[in-house]
Amino acid sequence: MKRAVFAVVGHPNKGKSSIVATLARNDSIEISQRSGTTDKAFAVKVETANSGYQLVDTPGFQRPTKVLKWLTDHQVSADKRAAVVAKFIHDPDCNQKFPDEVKLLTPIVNGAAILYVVDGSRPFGAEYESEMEILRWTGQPSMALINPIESETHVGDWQNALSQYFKTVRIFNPMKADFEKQIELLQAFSHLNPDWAVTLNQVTADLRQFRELQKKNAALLLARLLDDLCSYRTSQKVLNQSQADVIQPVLAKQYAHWMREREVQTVKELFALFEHFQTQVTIEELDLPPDLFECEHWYMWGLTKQQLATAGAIAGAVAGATADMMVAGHSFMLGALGGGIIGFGSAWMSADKLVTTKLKGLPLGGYEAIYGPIKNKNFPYVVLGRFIYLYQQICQRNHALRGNMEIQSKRLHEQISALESGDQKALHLACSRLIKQKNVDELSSLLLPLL
Amino acid sequence: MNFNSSLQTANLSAYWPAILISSALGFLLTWGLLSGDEQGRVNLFYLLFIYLILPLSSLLISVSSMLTGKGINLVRLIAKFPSIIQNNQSIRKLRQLGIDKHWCFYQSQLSAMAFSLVSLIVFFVLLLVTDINFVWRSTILSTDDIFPFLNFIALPWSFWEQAQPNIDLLNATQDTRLLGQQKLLGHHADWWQFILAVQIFYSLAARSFLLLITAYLFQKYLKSDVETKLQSKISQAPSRLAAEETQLAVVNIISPDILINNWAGVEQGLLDKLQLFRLREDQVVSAGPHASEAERMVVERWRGEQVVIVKSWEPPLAELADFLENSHGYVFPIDWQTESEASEIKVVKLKEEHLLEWSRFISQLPAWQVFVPLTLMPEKIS
Repeated sequence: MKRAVFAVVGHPNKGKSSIVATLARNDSIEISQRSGTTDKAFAVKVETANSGYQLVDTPGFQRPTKVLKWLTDHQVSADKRAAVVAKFIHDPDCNQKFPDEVKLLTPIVNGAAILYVVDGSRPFGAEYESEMEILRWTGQPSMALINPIESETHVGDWQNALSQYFKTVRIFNPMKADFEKQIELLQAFSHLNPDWAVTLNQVTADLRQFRELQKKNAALLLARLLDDLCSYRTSQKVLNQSQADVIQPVLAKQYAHWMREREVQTVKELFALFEHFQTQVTIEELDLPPDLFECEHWYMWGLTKQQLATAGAIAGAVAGATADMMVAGHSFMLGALGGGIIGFGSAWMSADKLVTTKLKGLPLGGYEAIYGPIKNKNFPYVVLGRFIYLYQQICQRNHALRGNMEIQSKRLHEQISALESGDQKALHLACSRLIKQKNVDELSSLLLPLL
Repeated sequence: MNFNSSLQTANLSAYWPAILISSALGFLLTWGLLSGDEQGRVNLFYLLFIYLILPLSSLLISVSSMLTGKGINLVRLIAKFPSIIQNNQSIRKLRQLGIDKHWCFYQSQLSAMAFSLVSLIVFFVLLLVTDINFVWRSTILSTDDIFPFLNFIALPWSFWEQAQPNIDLLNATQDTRLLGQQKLLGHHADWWQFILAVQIFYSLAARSFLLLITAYLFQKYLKSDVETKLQSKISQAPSRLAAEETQLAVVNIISPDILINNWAGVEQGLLDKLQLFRLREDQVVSAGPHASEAERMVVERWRGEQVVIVKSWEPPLAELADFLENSHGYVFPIDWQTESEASEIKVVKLKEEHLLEWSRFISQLPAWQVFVPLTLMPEKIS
């Protein structure tokens, strides 16, 4: 199947690279307010799951009047004009005198369709006519895109002028066009050349499917973030209660740092999921509750009292079972049962003594200063709110944008109210389980309707 | 501190509690069985049970539970006791990644290998330090029933002659407790190579094979995880270079009698509004894209200073640079606005980015300067 190729051409600094960046979902394409940033034509392949197309970003016209003069000096009948343009790009003298025009016309002569970009916020000038005339000479399918960079003040004038040269004229702001507008534009592209219709229709279908996949993956990232932030705790073994109190601020700092970095990691991943790699983000600090500090006893090998008792029960049961085996089962497994009970009981009763006991100078127990996890039942909703706000910002963000982003909390009420009552109940139950450090199966599926 | 949630936690390092339990099981079972009775007699069928039936059936249960997604295996069982497992945080991370079953399966293969290795070692040590008499007993089976079965299980090591079952040996090692007689004394130990081969092929090799496959699948799942892919994309993303600063050099006053080159083709009315020039008829010329060839020739012959009026928002083109190369003076970028179709055109202050763009352009032309009257300087700069 033949893949579509579009050369994005026009005056310098009218948003050609921005259009390429937005349509290709590639924020590494250099975009600058300085003219001449794009000094050579470069192809950007837009690959989808089952199809693809190519956009060629080109340098702007630099000497359109002189080039048109060159072409008209070689005046021939209309049927030979495309051949004259081909001659122009192959002429060594022209390559030297008009390098920018040669670079921008080469992909068109090689079969690319034309996307001519103008700025709709500034008045039309007759100097643009030379450019449009040159493009008409190529005889390639073409479309004009009016990019209202600052405003739509002069869009009408431009539409009148462009429709003299182009069959299709569209308004497209690469900074603001949402996903549906981008899809609409791609659908319009498919009308330019019937040979490309199948592949371009496939591209739009693939992009829609990919969007759904991105949404699912975003829900997965959210589920993991939520799980991690709700379960994270940091701890330090200490000798006594007063030492634990001393270490509390250090643990609090460690805890806050980890929570923040964990969230930052997900933010970066979410940006990467939507192919944004260059955006700088400012994140508002997570509001953490103050009552997260605890000091607990620990026993041999760092076990808690319950763990120690369980280990004692198992050891007792194993010893008892061995005795049962030695009497060939005549004890009716009472050895295992009794051993388990004795092991559990003795471990439980003597646990507190272990705190102060030492074996060859090494303590068999002590204290553990613990910070976290958060037990406040509202905390998962805070994390959800921040993530959903971010998700909505990122999935609408175009790849031509280069500014910073600020992340704030968002009220979740609307999204949760929009859920069906069954889903709401499941979500509340999941959040409650997370706070209780319990596993939630299929958490990402529960969160998906919120996105 | 490890900030990354799940990815670093999921690795293939051994899970020692499970390995210790299965090693202990291997030791106890092998030691218990091979200790035999007071004459050192060990039932061959019992050995086949622990070295053939037990490993094979556990392997089948393990594989089928993995395929059906139930995940029945030793490690998963142990992980059900959160009070024992110190690192259930890791299990939680693995669950996040959806590879907890694979991890448990992998660890179970490691445990099974530990069982096999410890059994092998104990078996070998006991062969060295004690006399083991392998016998078999059966109430209903005869040598003719058993021999084909033993031959069948020995197929994988058909190249190993000494480890093949032998009908004479089978006859010689049949034992009955009623008679208590021992035929062909001295040949009871000859089964050891057969038992060793059973252990190696059905226990050790089978589990090693499964272990390798599981490790491969585990790594594959881990690599295909969405977070792994995103992290890799983030680390490979190119970083953008910071733009260079532009030095602003602007002239604010010029002579009102200077030659005006209306390159942009702005209307005369707009020039009047500027109130900067005298605008005599012979003072305004044009050499821009709108100019005729004759007009251009006139300007190109001019050797004095001139001010070239351009549209501030239009980036400077090479066409203009070509013209400026042969003359000198000032470039005056202007901007204007109309509130509506009917309203008057109004000259407005320049935008900072436009002025910077013209400054950058002019900085490469030594004979030229940017002219902007103070009243039209961008707000931020003025």
